[in-house]
Amino acid sequence: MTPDHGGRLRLALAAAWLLDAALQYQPFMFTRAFGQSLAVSAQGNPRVISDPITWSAGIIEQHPAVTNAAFATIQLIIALGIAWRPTVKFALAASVAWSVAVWWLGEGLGGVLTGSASPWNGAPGAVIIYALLAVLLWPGGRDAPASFAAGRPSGRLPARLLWLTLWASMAFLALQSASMPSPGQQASAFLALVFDLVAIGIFLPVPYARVAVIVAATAATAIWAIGEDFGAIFTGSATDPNSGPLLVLLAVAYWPAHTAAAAATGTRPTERLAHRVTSANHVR
Amino acid sequence: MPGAPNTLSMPDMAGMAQAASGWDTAGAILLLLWAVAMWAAVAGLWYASRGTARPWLYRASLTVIVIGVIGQVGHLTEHVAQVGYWFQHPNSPAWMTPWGTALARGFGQVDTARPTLGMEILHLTGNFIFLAGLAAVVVITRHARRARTRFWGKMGVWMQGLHGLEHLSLTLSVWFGASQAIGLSTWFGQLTPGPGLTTYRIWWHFTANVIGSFIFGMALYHLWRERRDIRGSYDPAGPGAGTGAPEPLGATRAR
Repeated sequence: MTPDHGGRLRLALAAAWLLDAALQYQPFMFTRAFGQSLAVSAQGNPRVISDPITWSAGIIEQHPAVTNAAFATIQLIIALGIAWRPTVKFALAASVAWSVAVWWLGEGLGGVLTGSASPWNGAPGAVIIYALLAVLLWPGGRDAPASFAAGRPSGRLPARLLWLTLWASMAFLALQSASMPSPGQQASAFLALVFDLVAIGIFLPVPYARVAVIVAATAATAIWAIGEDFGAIFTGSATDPNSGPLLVLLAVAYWPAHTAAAAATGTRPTERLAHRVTSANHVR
Repeated sequence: MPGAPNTLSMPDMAGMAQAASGWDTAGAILLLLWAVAMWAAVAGLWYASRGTARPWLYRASLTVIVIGVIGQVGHLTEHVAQVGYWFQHPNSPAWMTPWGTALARGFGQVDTARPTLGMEILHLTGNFIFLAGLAAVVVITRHARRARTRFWGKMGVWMQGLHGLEHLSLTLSVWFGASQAIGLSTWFGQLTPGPGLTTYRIWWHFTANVIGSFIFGMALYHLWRERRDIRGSYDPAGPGAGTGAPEPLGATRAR
């Protein structure tokens, strides 16, 4: 992993926020229909979750132009803030707060409490992955030798546990949809199995972790193409590209460039392997 | 969901409801004895290999490994057959081979009130035979700690050990009367049974077996490559003595 790898990933995250801002400036978002579409996400949620959604959607419906102009501008500021080095930490922190608010009030927590959420449709919600990325791509960090960018800010184990939580949750949601009678039951069951392997794979040695990351990116791309219809970004009513591209970006952040030991010593894996082979190994 | 039909535990497997014959019971007892004998051998070999190395321990460990290979071939074949059946009948309840079903009936005599218990015990036994074979790989490399064989053997013991715990959980939960088998492959019994979840469980165990078998295969491959070093590590006169082996490539040195 090169030192500025995390910086490039933050630029990619900024680009995603920029796309969100552009989508938010679409004409449809300045109409009452946008607020009505947000209110739909309240359905199926417990009242403690759905009541604030209904309340905020009502306000947006009443004042669509003002509220949406504010939303789009906030996202634009977040994008520019992440891209500009002096403001990156402030912008990342703001993006976490904004993402959590949108995840609740705009996406109904991705539908995870409704019993009908499916990764095929973007569960657990694209916007919460923005928050996750902001945390994992925080500049600097206490684990500089980590082999993957996401492991640097908070350490490898917490980063891997976050990965495990995300993909295991997605496996559970896929199984939930697999348990409902539908033509895609078996496909969802397979998807759950793939997510399980991806979730566990990040804990394996580098070569196998790389396989897990590749499988994760491939699965995310497949979901984006098959289940999310490429985020429906050309329909005029999409607010984000959905979870597929963000999961790919997340996978890139977990790509193990080399082992931590190699990073610490400055040697490459092949050099260490050669050293091990030529060293006399002793037993008994 | 709790209280729903126990499809995840595969109660509808052909023949599961039939009464066990004497042959079924005898087969189940023999398979159980096989597993017990293997674990007794592994424990004995591990104990005997403390301190001074003895050449016979190498041959004995090798024998346990070979018996483990035979067991795993049968075990994996069962899972391959299940997946093969699934391809033809993706919406049907899970299926086992006739001999697998017979053994499950035999094991089911433990508690006839629980129709899927025999199947769970059968899988638990099969997995512990496999685990014993992997443990024997670790035992045979006890004096060759840097051998690649040992690396793969330990990886296998970890992986198959966790899978064994999964089967222990599935078996005990059924035995103790849970409405569904509880384990990772059933998401702790929290999801509605049906074709989707049957698919998940069949492929979960198939995948676990393929990965475990691959690791076992890698351990055996390295055991073959490092056989002189590992055998030499059991020679009281030192590595390579009497074997005609060249200087070890990275395995042994006499204490």
